[in-house]
Amino acid sequence: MLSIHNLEASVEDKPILKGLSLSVKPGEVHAIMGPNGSGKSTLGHVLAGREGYEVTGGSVDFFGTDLTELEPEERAREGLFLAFQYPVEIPGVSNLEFLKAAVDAKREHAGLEPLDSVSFIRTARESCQKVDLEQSFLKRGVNEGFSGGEKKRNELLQMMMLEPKIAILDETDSGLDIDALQVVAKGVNAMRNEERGFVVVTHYQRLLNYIVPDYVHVLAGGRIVKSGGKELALQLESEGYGWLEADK
Amino acid sequence: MAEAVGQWLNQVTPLPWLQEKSSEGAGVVNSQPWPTPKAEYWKYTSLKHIERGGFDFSAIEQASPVSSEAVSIIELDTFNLVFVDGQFRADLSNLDPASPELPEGLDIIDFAHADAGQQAFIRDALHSTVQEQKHVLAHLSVAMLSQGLLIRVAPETRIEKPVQITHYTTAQADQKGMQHRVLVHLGHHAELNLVEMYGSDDSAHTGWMNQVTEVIQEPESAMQHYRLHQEQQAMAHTGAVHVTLDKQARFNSFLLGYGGKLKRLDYVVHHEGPAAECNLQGVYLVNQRQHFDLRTQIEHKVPHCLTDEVFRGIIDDKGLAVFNGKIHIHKHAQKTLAEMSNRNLLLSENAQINTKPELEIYADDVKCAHGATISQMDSDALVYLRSRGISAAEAAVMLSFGFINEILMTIKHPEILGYIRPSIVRRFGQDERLMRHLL
Ligand SMILES: Nc1ncnc2c1ncn2[C@@H]1O[C@H](COP(=O)(O)OP(=O)(O)O)[C@@H](O)[C@H]1O
Ligand SMILES: [Mg+2]
Repeated sequence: MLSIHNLEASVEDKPILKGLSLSVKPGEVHAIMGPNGSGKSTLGHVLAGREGYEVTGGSVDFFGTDLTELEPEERAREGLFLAFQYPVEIPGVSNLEFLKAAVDAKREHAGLEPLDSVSFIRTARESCQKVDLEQSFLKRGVNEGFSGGEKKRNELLQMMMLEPKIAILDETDSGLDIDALQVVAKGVNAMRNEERGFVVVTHYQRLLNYIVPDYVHVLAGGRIVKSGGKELALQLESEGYGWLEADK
Repeated sequence: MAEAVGQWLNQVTPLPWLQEKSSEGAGVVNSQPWPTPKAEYWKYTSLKHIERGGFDFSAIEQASPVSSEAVSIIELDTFNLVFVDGQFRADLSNLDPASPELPEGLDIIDFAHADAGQQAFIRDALHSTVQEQKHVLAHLSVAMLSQGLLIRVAPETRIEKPVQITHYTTAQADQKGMQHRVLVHLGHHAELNLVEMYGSDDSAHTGWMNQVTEVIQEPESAMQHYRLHQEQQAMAHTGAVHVTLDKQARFNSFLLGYGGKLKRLDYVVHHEGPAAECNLQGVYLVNQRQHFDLRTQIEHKVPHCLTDEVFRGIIDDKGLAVFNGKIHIHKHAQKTLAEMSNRNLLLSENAQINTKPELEIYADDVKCAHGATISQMDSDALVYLRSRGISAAEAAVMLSFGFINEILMTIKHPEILGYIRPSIVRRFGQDERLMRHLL
């Protein structure tokens, strides 16, 4: 469903991704690990279509369409979801209104009527429970004054409401204590199914004990330099990334 | 003095029993130079447009056909007095000030129908809140006073149903000068809701309205006031709200201000009795090539009073907005609590805001704070919303609303909020569907 081929991308004319290839099929979970600054978040932003992230080469195919041709909102409506490493605070716009606008936009795109407010609010409340956020968080401004962990859980809440075809989780585990980590893992695992793909970007092997990946990739210097099964994560954990330098 | 002033004065016949007041007003206007941007009080707003616009204050000959739906757009049950192109329209109002049917304790009196006792009251009270020479246009308004309304609430009387004054302009208002006065008097412990609406039909017309609302509040009285300005763009409006508050009186006011060819609003509130409260909130929306100038001046003359002032503005295209808020705390006004905040969102590179909140403090035991900010649309927030499937246009509406929502949520009458929200979206040239996120 998602097929990235030799992707090159620059930020402010600085090449960051330098020929990255990755293919995700329905139902698969891919983990991406790699040192700081290797381009993991850049990959997420490029896929989500963020302005300023310029694709300079290669291709991204998403269910047969050229993803790079789509506006960011179209990508989201087509079923691509990026959980941000640093979710944005938006005072004045309530979380609930935000979710409603997002869900309605997606439904409209699919030719569905907007959800009526009552069933929408019910679904939102249920999802809140699943990610262990109090319902009062729905009334607050989007991420406004949320702690790091609450922001991450709010990303998960959005993912649940939007039911994407592919979800890219950018370090959704960083800054979480073990309980919060388990909540996140449980939420993701509950959404795993035959059709949905995941790309889980993480710094730590620990998350992968709970979200067991089908593949693990190492991203370094803007490329996937090594791919393997879940055991690769354990190897990275014990050996660090030093061997990457040696390999070059 | 501008030549135009003489012409305007010739075009109107002031009420004979107010002749003395009118002459006094004309005297004050004539005693000083006509305002130009050289004067600090008019720094950002030139009156050339009204001075040279050839506005004609003589009465309109033929009344415009206007539907009652057009002038009663808020779904709120009010005593609605409707003026079209400056003239009272009994056919559109649900109250006849010649023989009003009103609840006990509420008087609404057209100056033209005032009896001797009421005339005496008006002569005494009118213009008493306008205490400085510099309010030239307010003095001009009394000099030209040919029509006005007195609204009185008797002591210990609470009037729940709002009084609404609707000024609506049509193509007939083109090149017309219009004036109106409102004098409100709240007795001891009286309560009133007042809605002032200014709107226009879709026709292109110039026109200038000079309006003054005065509010005199006796001890412990409470007023909820709305002033909603949504005239079409080419209209000029110079307006003022002058208030005096006696002991423990409370004045709450919400302003919705759209920009126009020339718009200048002055709010002047005098705390004259201890422990009075003044809450001013408002939003202004200025786009295209509109101009909007808001001045507030709060005079704390006695101890223990409170002022809370919060205004937010959104300026787009080549709009120009001015906020100048002054809180003046006199020497004896100890234990004053005063806060003023003005925040602005600029949506285009050519949009302009001049903001100047000022505190002048001569008492030593007071708590005061003020602040002003100017910001742009948060691009990270925009990215975030779009990444969730929300279109750029809808995201922009959500973020703009987010910016002013806090202020809108202070509106006490849900019917007024329900009316204002879609109106704001339309003003920004957007599809009302873009408000679907509002729950
Ligand atoms: N907005 C940006 N402006 C300039 N440089 C950026 C920007 N975003 C990322 N970079 C640079 O791109 C490289 C990759 O960053 P990033 O994708 O955030 O790495 P990771 O997520 O793997 O830690 C880094 O060198 C970083 O400094
Ligand atoms: Mg990162």
